[in-house]
Amino acid sequence: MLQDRKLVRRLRQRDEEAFCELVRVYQHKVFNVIYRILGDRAEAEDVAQEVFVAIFKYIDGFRGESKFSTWVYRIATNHARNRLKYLKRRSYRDHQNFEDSHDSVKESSPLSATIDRPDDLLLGKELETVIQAGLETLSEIHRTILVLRDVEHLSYQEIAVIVDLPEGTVKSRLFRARVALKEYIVARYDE
Amino acid sequence: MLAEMESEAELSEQDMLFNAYLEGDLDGGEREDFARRLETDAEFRKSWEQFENIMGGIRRLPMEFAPDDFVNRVQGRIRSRSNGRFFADNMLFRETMPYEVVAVVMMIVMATTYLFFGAPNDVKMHDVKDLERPPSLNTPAQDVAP
Repeated sequence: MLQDRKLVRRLRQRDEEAFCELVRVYQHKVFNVIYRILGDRAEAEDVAQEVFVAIFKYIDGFRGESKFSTWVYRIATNHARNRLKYLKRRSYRDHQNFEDSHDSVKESSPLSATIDRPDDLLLGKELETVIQAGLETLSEIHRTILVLRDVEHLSYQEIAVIVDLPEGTVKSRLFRARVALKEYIVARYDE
Repeated sequence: MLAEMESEAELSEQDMLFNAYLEGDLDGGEREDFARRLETDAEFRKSWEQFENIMGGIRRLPMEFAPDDFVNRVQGRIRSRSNGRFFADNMLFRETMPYEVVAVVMMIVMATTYLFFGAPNDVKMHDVKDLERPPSLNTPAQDVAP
């Protein structure tokens, strides 16, 4: 925390070395969150770079009301969600809202014929692929909350600050996202 | 906690229970009931194992790492957006030289070498000023006018 304060103070002075340190410390966390939300490495790289440009530009806007890492996550998830919306508008990918997933899970899958049931295997590349595909069927807010909680292991309190929603809503949306994802995966394996 | 979730009518009670257990939201009695059901109800246990396995899969997703040159790329983006105000290029500390610079240096070196060592050095050229007629390809004998 003290290190963060020192870092922020140096960043406000536009200390280039401090900024490089910030990027080195947070680059993988930021990249991982964005990648899990977007599901595309090239897009994730571009958005992650934009996140650090935004941090450099708007560091004076950090008032210290939350942890610095929470503020960084907030910028990262906002950028990722905005990019998702943009890509949806551009029909970049056929992202479906998770409410529609009940219909979509019945669609045939090239993976389903070759993989074992989830309760029969440890996490393998196949399950990772199915989970990532399942994440992409969720709406951007459900996906974001699920990634922050189950991939990044953040507290509800932190997630509530990051996505700017009450804690109760975060819990409820996380629950819905988990169930939707579970149903998607089970349907993929059941076919 | 479970009472709060009952508003989620369209979601199954079992899923709500699994989620609450996973989050540690069940009180002592509810946890005991849950454990008892796991022991006595095979279908319930199978469903729980499936739920737990999938949630575990999400939690164990491997970390995706940013590319090695990520810091440089961010610096480059800020440099171009700020018109070189930040992270300005310092040639002395660059890891790689732009090929244009290398090409110019090579040309200078080649030109210098040529001027010092490779320039025409024909001593007979000094006599050019003494010629009355321009030189020709004919032999001296043929040169003589009949």
